[in-house]
Amino acid sequence: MRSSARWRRLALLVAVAAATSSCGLTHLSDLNFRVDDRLHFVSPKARSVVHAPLTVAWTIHDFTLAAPGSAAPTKDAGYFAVFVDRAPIRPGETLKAIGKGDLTCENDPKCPDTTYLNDHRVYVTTTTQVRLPLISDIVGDRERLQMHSITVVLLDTAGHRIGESAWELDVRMHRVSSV
Amino acid sequence: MTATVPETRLDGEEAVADIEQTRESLRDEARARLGVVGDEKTERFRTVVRTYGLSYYPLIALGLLSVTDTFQAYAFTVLTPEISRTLGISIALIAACFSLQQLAISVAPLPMAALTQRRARRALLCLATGVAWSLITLFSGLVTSILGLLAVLMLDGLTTGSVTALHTPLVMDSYHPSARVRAVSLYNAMGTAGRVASPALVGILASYLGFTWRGVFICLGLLAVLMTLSAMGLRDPGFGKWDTQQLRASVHEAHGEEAHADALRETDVALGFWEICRRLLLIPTNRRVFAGFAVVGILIAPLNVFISFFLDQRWNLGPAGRGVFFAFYAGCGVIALLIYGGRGEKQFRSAPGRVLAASGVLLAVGVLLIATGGVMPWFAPMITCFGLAGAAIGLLTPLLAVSLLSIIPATMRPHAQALIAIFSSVGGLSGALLLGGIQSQYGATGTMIAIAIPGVLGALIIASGGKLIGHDLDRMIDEVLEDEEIKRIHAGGGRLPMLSARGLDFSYGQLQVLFDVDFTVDDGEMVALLGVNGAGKSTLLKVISGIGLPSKGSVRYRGQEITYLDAERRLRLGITQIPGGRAVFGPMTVVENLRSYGYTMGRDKGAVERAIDTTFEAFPRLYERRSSLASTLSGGEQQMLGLSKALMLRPRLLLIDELSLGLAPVIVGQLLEMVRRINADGTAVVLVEQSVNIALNLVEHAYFMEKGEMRFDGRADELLARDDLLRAVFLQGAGAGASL
Repeated sequence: MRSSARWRRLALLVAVAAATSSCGLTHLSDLNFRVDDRLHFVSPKARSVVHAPLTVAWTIHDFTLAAPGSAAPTKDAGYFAVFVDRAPIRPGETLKAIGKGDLTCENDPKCPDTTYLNDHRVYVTTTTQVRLPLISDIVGDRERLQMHSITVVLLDTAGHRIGESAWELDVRMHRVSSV
Repeated sequence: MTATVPETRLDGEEAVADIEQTRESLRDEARARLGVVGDEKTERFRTVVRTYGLSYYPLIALGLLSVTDTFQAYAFTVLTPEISRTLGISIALIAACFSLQQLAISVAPLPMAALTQRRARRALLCLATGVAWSLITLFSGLVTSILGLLAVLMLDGLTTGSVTALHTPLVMDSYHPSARVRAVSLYNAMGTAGRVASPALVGILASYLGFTWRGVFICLGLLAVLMTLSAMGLRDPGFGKWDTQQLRASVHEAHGEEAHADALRETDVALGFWEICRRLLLIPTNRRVFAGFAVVGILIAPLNVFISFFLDQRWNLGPAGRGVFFAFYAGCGVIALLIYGGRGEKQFRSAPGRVLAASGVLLAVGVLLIATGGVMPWFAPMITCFGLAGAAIGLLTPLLAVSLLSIIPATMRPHAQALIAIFSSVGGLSGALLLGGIQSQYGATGTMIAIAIPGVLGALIIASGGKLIGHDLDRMIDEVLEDEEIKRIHAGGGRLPMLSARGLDFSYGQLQVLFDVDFTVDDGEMVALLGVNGAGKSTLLKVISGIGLPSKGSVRYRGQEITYLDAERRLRLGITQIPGGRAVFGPMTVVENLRSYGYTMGRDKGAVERAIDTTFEAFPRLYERRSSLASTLSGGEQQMLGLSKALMLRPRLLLIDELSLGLAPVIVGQLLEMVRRINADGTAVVLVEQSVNIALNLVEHAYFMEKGEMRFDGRADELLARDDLLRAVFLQGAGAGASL
């Protein structure tokens, strides 16, 4: 009797875990099970040594470039957000999430603006390239040659991140500050 | 060939002598049954399997489960950046989830060991957890939040406990001792092969077949379900089928009887979970091996991370290159395991200490190769150094596990494995902190070199265990043989003394105070335990009552092994000790003290109150002072209060330490009269005294201890004639002004 109760509790635990693991899942079709290969980086070469300012360029197909607010939001049109050495915003979120937790920004309807985003290592572009004027050293990394990751995600015309697709490029850069 | 022991009708001391005779005569044969025969003539693995009617299936099934267990961990390790990008969760947050998972992995073996403690259901648990982690891997592909990620990681960590705690003990029990090193090596080789295959599989699914991390998890989950289903035929062979049970059978064979192994299993696992853990930590070889695992943990757990940094920064190897490197590193371990298994078997067969010595050498060689690889300026020699290091370190786990698990009874092996996990995790955590600091200061190359220092230290600790393992193997054999012999005597209608302590060693830290002490008390008997201060009398009482645990020897009470039982459980079994030096709670009143003695009588308040009334009848003085604080009582009154514990609990065995110390003769007389009455009611009494006259007037049987050894065991009047022994007591007593 006690043993069967224990197994029932275990089964319940597994069910709860299974439910929470897919917490927030609305449609199975929202999830990417196959790699999205619409975007390819052109330059610089992956893992190459680069210097600031750095221009990152890419190509994309099956996606129409559109400026923010230029049309009704769809999954197939929009612009790009580039994140340097930081995780991108979550699927469905807008760049407003970058200022989350910053009371000054949360209370300012114009925030985050371009300056705020750049200060937080986020860049927005409606073309297939972005110019990164400065890449800060990675905090806590004392290596002379540091690895930086550049992540590109798609935003729709309303500023929401489209799906789970994200593309990353790693480049290496000499540390700016001395240790 | 079985040694034979003369058959007799046994009673009391005769039975004890018979146990020792059986133990001595069967020890060599028992070592042979455990695969330690002193030569290196091993049979082929296939021959052993055929001879003993074994099967390859348990090895394959457990190997498959072990491989499937690695799926999720490797998929997460390889795909963390992808998961971070997809979900928009920082890598730091995912790393925090991994840390919690590591914590779950560290503690999970403990409940797994506890679940198998009383019943051999290891196979069932292995399969259940296998199914669980396969489904968890499948569900991992549907995670959309940090909460979900944490849930799947934690559940995976918790189910992984079965691999650590149960797999190797199950392999040990599934194969005959003459093939165990090879069986465990093969099992580890399969697990290591999984570490090669898993990242490669992840790479193939992600790169060539174009799956995202979600697709990879779904594919791995389905594959894990299939592999787990193919292991469904796994069955538990029972605890110690080829060792403990064989040793027990040898006792019966020696007496020309049939073994009744099934009827004896219940008492095999009488110790509780923590008592077993504590007992394992008291075995000297285990302590060295656990320390060795802690040091290995310092190296192994963070090593992969630092090697990754090293390869990335020093050699500019991307994820694919690093994946190939780790596959090569683990592959060298697999090859080493397959080659070394047979050699290890020969070493174990010849002398188990050689296996531990070899483990020490392998660890030292491994870390020195890593350090050399860390400073190597050329790629090919660097790879060669790491490959050889992978081979050396890959052998460590099975060799250490076989050494450790061979010297403990089968029922305790899951606990030992669980403790290994704990020690390895502690080492891993320390290593991450230590090496993290070194890496930030001296870079990845500096870290590789720094690993050599704890590595060589660990090698020395492990190798030093080689000198102890033979002794600990004999101790385990003795325990099992003695246990079975006692059961046999009971079953044959023989009778053992109520308390029988044999060969007790006890140490306070490094200071040993008991040396091979034998002590026996029969039902209803009153014995005196005499000796000067520091002779070890009070320590012996502590070992009997469970306040102290011996490093060697056994304590049997009413035919049951209680050597490692908690003091509280012994109290419930009827052993009560009245410690020396006023055994009362000073800040509590007399009545409160008495109620506290009634704690073990449960919630029956009426029984406690009746027992208190009985005490007041016996000691009217205590009734008069019932509301006084115990600290305000005189010395005699405090001893009365202490003695009340025996009146209330009515123990089967009462241990009294220094009852008369510092009391007036008239008070001593009253107390001794009460002790006589307690004894007359059927309670056996051990009276520890420095006052020879007092003790020997009360008892017929006396023991005399000196410098931790039992110097006299016999009639009290015979002791009185031993001036050579009593001289020191008289002199000390005179010096202290004691009444003699």
